[in-house]
Amino acid sequence: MAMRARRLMVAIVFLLAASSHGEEPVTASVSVLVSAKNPMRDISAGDLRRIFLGDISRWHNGHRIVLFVRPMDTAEGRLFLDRLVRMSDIDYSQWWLGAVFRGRVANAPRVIGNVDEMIRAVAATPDGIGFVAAPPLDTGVIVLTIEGKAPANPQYALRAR
Amino acid sequence: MRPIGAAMTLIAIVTFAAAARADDAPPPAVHYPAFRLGAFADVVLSHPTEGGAVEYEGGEIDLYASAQITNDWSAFAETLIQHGGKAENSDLETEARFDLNLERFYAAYNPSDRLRLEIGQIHTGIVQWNEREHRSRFLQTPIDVPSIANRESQGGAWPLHFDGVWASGRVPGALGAAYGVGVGAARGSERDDIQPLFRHGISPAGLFLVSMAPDAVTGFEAGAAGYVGRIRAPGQTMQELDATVYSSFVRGGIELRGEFARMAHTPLGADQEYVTRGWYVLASWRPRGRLKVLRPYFLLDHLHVAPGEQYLSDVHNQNAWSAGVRWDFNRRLALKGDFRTQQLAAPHRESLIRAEVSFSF
Repeated sequence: MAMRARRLMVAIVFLLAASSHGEEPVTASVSVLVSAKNPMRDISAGDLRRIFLGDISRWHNGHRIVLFVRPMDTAEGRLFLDRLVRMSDIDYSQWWLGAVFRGRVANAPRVIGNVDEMIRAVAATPDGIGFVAAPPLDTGVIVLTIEGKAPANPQYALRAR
Repeated sequence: MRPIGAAMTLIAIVTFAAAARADDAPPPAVHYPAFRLGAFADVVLSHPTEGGAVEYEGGEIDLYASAQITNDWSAFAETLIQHGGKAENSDLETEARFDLNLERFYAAYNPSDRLRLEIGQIHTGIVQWNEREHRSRFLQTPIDVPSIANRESQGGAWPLHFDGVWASGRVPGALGAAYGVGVGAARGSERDDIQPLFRHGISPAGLFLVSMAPDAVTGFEAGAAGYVGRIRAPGQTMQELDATVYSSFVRGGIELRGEFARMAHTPLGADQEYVTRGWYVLASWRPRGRLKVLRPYFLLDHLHVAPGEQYLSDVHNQNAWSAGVRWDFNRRLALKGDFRTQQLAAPHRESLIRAEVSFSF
């Protein structure tokens, strides 16, 4: 019995030690982008999370929101998961499988592998929303503030701690 | 060996299909009409701890198709094909080896997040597990579906399906409130009889669901659902009144879920009331880092069927727990293993070591 308990303790210690090597985000913040044609300029963290989980699927004008995301193994992808969605990449992928299966959404977010392509995609999609690591110097997109705070603000919701 | 061989063949085919599928490429931005076909499949093997061979417990393929026809209109269909192996452990009834069921089939009108109307055969939402996971074992953490979420045709007590109209939506705001109300056809004379909406002489049923997921506690959700209907069972008509409360907390790798369901059947003109109760608690955790592909879990599952109720005579009490690990091998393949001890019929209990392979493709 004592041997079993020791083995169990060793297993738990191993599990905790291995899990402590988390994939910490290395980017300072995530900038959330919408098209310059979109009137939205500020959003709450709660609504932003609901948008990227598909629970909010429409803009105020009734148009369907088109989601773009960076690959989840990028620095901004990890920060997005860690600070906004609060899920692992595996769980986020399964969340969207489930959302489609529930019949609530037609498609999972489109994954954009390149930062420039992300900016171009959002700029060209009036109903689009996406994110990148650094605020872009592009007039076709707007960086949303989250609860009134810009990405440079230390209190910004999608900022590494 | 034959069932195991069949299972392995199925695994090979599905794995090949998943690898060959071009769906890993990003889907385009919305163009209408947009169609999507998908499926989930799983195979469960079990081994009694009292001895005996490894047995094929069952397998299922869940096929679904969705069509976003316009910005506001969509349609959805889902069918479930099950194959029962060792029937006493399977969800399937003893005689049924193959079971083909239409799970959901509806058209939806969704002009805004505040309103979504569905008409057709839908899931009632009276049991939140069923509303969230529907029939996919790939999406759920443990191998088992809790007893209160068993399908009607698999010995489940609750009315999980109905033909009717369902309106749902979310209320804007930081409370994350959502609602659902529905009317349709109540259950038929048999427990697993889903009555068509337009059959002559059907009795009506009503449903409601409220939930909240406040911004203040990211990942927390709680809700309640109610169902009222009239059952025209042989020899008597009963009023059905079901109530369910649930809560969940899913954040940062932690998954906690619990649900309690109560079903009351009251024969009209009688003082007697048959009350069936069930609940489950699920706790799981996904570590970070290298072990993030693993999700250890623990599931408690309880069902107490009203003694003497003929309408639920083929539903069994359950008092089970299982502890196991889910391993997400990749985005499309999950392997699960657990130890389960369960009560199939009092006072007999059995313990099993089981493995499940589940896919999404």
